[in-house]
Amino acid sequence: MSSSKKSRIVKFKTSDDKTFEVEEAVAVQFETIKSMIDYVCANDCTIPLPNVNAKTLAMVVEWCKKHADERDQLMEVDVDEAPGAVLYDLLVAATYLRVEDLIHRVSQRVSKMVIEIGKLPEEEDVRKTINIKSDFPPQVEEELRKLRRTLGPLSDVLVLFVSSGLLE
Amino acid sequence: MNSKQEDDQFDRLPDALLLLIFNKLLDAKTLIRCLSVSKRFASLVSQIHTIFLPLPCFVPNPKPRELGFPIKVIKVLVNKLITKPIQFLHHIVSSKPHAAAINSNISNHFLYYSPNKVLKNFKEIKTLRLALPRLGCEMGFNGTGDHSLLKWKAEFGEELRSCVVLGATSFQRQLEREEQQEIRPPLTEEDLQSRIIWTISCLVSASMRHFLLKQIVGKLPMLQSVVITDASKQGKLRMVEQQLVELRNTVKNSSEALESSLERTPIPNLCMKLWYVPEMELPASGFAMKGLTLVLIKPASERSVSEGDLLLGDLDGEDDEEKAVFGEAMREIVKRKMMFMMEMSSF
Repeated sequence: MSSSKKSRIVKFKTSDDKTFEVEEAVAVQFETIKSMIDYVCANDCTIPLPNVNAKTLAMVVEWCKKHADERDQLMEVDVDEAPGAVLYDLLVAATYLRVEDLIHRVSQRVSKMVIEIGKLPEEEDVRKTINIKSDFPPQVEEELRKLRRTLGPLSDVLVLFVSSGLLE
Repeated sequence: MNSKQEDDQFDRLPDALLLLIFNKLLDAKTLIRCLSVSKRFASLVSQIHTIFLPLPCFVPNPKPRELGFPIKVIKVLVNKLITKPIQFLHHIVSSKPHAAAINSNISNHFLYYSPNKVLKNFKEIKTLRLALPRLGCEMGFNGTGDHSLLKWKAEFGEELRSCVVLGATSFQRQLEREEQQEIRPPLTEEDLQSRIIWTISCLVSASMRHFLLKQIVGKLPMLQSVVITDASKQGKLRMVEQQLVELRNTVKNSSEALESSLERTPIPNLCMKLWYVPEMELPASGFAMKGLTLVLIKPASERSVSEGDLLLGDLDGEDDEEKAVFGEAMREIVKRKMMFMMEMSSF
């Protein structure tokens, strides 16, 4: 009985229309579908994942197979070759499937990235890096720039205090 | 494959996830940076519930005034007394001629920005950590050549609940076991006097932080936990949810609470217990301390707080190791039988 249980397979269909077979031991780590595994296996269903593409699901599965101590390593490797986009995909997938540990680590990674980006001297550099367009009125933009110039090296901290008043 | 896409990556993340990330930022600098990136960022950042905010030192005559932003600053008096009590005390006790110099130092006020201005952008904050700046000429207590030590932690509600002060004239990793010298006098009048000055300066420091918090608490309705530390890691003021509720109600009910000419919260009548050991070795951490002093303080009206409770929770320190040393020092010294009971009237 127990051996047959171990060999159960849960099927997923990813957003790019690929079918994925995942071992039960991994699938139970997806909180979202944990409770439906019995039903799904008994009826040979395929679970659709409209938010997750095959590449990302492969990463999530890989993650779930690792022990906690190996996960740090995996995170490091992935991040070096993975620009923001991959991390966001991973975060969306982890949230959809509710893999808590992965959510935690990926968001931690992204927040570190945001802190790095936040160190860039100009707002515009920050926006360029993350591909966001400012939707503030031009005069607010201008005042921020002026402020930064006037304050020079002190601006880092002080601008925060002043600019927070600007944006009401 | 996705990396080739040049579209707006952050826009792909739903608000909830972006908020999750922002809540991990903690760093106030970055958060406020995000406020000025785009409207979406601004609206999400203003919903975060945890922030760590180091307060910058006030810089005289900052240009932004010309843009018409009144910057509210808090003047804090008694500079030297608070930042360098030990040196201060040495001057007082050992050399009278220095007194004039000290007085002139005291008159140099230091200033820092009020966090109000920033915090009003973050209405949802539940956990707030403020760090006061390192001030001007200050060297730091554990810095070069100076091995003295003074640490405190305090809890407040509407007023002081408890305060613990740990001090030592010397605090060093033990190199080799010295011959025991038990003939030292237990506690001279001079020693005692100095310990009282330490205690008062810590209490003043704590009550000024509480006063700062009073001005914020009404504007942050979700606040559940506050810790105010300082860049020199000397003191730590802590308030939990119930204490914050109590303070918020007081502030609401009387506007006087905010207008103190002292610029600090008055300290009630206190009763305190003082332990003193001329020399003590801490075997677990391998440190040795001289003139080690522990003062446990609570309001005279408060009988219920037990000493064990007061000792719970870390003093602020450079790292976990240092915190462990302080913890050990506190646990060891309260085992000593010699202890002084004192009362101090409200100030």
